[in-house]
Amino acid sequence: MMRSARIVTGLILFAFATLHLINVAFGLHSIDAMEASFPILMAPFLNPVGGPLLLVSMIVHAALGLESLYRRNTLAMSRADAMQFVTGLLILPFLFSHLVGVMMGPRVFEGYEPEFSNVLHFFWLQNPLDGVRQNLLMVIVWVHGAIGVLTWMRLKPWWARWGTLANVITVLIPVAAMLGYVESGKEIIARSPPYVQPDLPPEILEKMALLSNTKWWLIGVWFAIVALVLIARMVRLSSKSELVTIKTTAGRSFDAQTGTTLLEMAIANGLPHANLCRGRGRCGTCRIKVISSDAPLPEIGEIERKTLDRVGAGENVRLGCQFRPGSGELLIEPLLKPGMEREELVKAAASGAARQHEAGTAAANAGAA
Amino acid sequence: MAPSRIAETQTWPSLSLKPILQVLLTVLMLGFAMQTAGAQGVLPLLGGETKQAETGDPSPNDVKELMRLLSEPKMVEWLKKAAEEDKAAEEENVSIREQIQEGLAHVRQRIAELVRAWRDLPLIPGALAKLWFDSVSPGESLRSLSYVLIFIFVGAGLEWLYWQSFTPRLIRLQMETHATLGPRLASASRRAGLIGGGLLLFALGSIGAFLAFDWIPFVYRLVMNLLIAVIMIRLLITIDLFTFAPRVPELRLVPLETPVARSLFNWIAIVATVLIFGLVISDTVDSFVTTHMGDLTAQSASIAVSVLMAVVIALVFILAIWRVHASVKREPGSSTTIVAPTLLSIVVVVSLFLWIIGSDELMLSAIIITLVLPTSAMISKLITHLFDQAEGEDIRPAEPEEDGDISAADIAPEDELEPRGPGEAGRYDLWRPVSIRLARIVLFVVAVLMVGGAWGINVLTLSSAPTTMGRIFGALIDVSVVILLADLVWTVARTAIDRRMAEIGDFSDQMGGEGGGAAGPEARMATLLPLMRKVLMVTVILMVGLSILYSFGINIGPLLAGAGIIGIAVGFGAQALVRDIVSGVFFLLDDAFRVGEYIEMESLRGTVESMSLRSLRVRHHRGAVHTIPFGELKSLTNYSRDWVIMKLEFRVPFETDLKLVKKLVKQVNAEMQENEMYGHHFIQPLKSQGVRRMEEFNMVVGVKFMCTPGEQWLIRRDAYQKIRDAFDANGISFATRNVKVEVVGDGPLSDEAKEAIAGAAQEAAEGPAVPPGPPPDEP
Repeated sequence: MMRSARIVTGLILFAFATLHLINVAFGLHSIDAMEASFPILMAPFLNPVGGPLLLVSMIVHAALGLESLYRRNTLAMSRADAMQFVTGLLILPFLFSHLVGVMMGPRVFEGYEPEFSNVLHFFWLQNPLDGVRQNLLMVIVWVHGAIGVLTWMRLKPWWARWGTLANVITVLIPVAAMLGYVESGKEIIARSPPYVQPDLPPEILEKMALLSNTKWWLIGVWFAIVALVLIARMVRLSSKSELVTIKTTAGRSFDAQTGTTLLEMAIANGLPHANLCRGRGRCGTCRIKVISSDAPLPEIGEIERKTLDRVGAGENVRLGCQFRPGSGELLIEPLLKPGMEREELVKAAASGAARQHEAGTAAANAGAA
Repeated sequence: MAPSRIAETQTWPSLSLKPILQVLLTVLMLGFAMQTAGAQGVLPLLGGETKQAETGDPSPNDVKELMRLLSEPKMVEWLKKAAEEDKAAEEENVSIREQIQEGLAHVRQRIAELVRAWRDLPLIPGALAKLWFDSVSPGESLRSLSYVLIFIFVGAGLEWLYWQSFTPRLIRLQMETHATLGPRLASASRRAGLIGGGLLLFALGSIGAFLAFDWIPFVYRLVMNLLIAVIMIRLLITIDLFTFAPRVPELRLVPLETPVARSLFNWIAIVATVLIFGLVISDTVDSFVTTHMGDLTAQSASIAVSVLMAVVIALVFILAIWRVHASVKREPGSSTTIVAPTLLSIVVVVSLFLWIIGSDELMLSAIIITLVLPTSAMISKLITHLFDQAEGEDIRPAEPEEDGDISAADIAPEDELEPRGPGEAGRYDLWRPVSIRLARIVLFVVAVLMVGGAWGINVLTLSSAPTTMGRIFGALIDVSVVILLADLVWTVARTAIDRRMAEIGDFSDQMGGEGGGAAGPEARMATLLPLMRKVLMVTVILMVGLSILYSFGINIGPLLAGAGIIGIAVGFGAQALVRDIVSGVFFLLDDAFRVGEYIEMESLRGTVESMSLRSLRVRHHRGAVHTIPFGELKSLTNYSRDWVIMKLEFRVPFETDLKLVKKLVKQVNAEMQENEMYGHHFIQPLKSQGVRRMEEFNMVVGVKFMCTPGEQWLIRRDAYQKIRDAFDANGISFATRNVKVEVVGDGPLSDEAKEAIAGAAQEAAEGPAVPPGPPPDEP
């Protein structure tokens, strides 16, 4: 339920970001083209349903993100996870200034209509620092969204066919948008007179201060919430941890602290481990066979049980991303080799195709014994 | 099995195409986008523009004439030559004293600048800010930040696409474990290629995007610096990661434990980052000075910033040195002292000081010279480690045995490993010192070239320059090259000889254990090798000495001639000796005999007991020892090679059943083959050859067998005994000489007559003298 809510809201937000960036990319042609394509491209979000939906999605998604931060066992994570996590935390603070300007601006200043021409003028001439911030926001949003969406897409059957194209588009859209932004900025600079800071009347200054204060207040609230979540997480994890030595049948071994999942331990210790869905318990590619364990194996959870049943796992097979080893020594055999091509992994995840592989390995083991 | 194979074949072709497709597509689209973005035209190269400006202001006719003259090749040639001569003359004229004076003046000026910078210190932040805002408007600087963000994003995007296709391959490579060095190096270089490809794409993407924009010169330099800094840092960290593999010991190229590797990796990354950013910052500030010529505050600011950066870099260096030292010290069983880090810290401080007072040449020389020794030691260690890896893995027991029970069982396999058999563990033993020497030579050459470069001297031209300095320098270089090469040659030869001798040592041990088996030509080699070693050493030392003398300009012709004459004199005297040694070498090559073999030369025979350089020592089976110089040997018979055939003869009466004899011999053979003492020495069985010849009173039955040399005597002895017993048991008697005496007439013979008859028969039976038997060859 939570997972699907996260995906749905994420997809809505990502669709918005994509459309908006495509819109900005029209700046490669001209500002007029940007303006002209705006109503068409943004149509899904300009109606009374789309707008609020977007806002709700954002709030829900942010809340879910904080929840997952609370649930995280370790902050040592794979690079993609770390990127997604950090960018996720940074989106809102960066977004607030843009959001406040575009949404509150028309209400505070009468007659102000947020159009591309005056927004761009603001970013390129009045306040270039905001322009940089905007650029950074774009990168952050895109990285966060792309990681999430691509992770979701990778489990789809059509990924094997369209994956490459999706990857290329993932890079092309933001690059085109950035270049459109630069190009339209040049157009603005070329057609406007050199900008001099005007002496503004006090009431306008006051209104601007109001906008600024709102922005900073929102940012402060956000970070306070994040800090609270982190503290709550620390309280949750304060139980003491013990040392566990993980050995694989391939001869690698490392020490780790208990309390995290096997996949997290492997990632933190630089041992490659197959995982398609990045530890969401969905794909089953991280499954391992427990050969021997000092500590008793923990119960199999609901998510794990479902996935294990789907892939038709045998006895003592667990999901690396759900299984939390106890202290002592643990000997495991990863059932899928790390470094499989994505297509093979998708196949292994989509069906029980890997069952044969498992059977083969088991037979080989029996033979060796 | 089958489905997975199908899957592989299906995915493979698309695999190799996909990355290329992806990259191509992106590059195409990007190129298109850039073109639009940079529609106002790509910036012309800065240098071209300024040059044009300089050659402006023509006063038409003169310039035309000058241009005509200048464009003539002869003229150009002449000018070049003249300039070179001037330069050479100038160099020759500048005495060392003047050079030192010049250097001191330079230092004095630099110190004055430093003092001024110190005095101006409070003004500097303000000055810097002013310079910054003079060079770029705030809008521009911020916008350029936007651009940098875009470039890095483009580069990172390209790299990300690349990794989307290649990450699985990289992981597979990382998971590979190889026992031997070759595949390991291949896998490492493939890994390096993959990682480097990503980095290259990043650089291409970001720099490509950068070039597509228009720039004002100052921002151009700034942004370019930033980009280069980012790329350089990434490159260094990649190399760092690749070398130290801080988390995965299996991939580590250097012989370090994980904590040390991790600390080294981190600190190298930090130092690289600080160093590069320091350079970028001071270069940027420096560019203010070039745009604001003559502004003293700007100069002071530039100096202050660069000194500050240098101090920061030096501090980080020292911190890194001590932190790494601490991590090494924490390793169990490490025996580090504080000497090395202290020395390194001192070098850093001294270099910093030298740089601050403005003598960059001294600083670079100091750094290079102090780094040569540790680097050389490190390279030796690294090479040794690589060789260990190359040889070690397959011999060492894969898993350490359970603890607690370290008894004879545990030690025994170790002992087996200890004396490395030939061609087993020592496969690369010969190459180990050679590679270390080679690496050392390369290091030395690089260091010399670098020091030369620091002083602005081309080492190669200097050594041929006709100045005193040049000559001394050239001689020094010659000498060091000769010594290094001689060292290399000597090491190769010595290692080869020592290794051979070690093998021989093993052999003689084995011989002692088994007692008397034929040894190889090793015994002679054991005498030859040390001599060869000595000869070689003397030769190398002599040649080095002569070369050194020669490179210092001493004429070695007379020396050589004198040595030649002495050589000839000694040669005549030692002619016989030389013949012995040389023919000994050829007997050795022919493998005519080995220690322990039974040989015969002309009239002498016996077992080879030992060989010296000049002679062979043979012991006759009755104990006499013959010493024969090799030169005297003409032909030689070896009785101990491959196989021997032994023939036995039995004289039996004519009425003997030959079939029975054959059967009996077969039985005896079967019995003897079973014998555990010599049964396995048979090559062909004991078999009866039937009647070999008929004699007056009996027939001769032949029996033969083939066996390994040296065993025939024992077998023959037993065969005789067994066959005799068998004949005896089956009623076959050996023939005796008997004479039938026919007495004509009847009546009893008198005793005298009987005696006479017996005497005559005796005579007849004994017959003529028996021919001499085969020589008594049994030892």
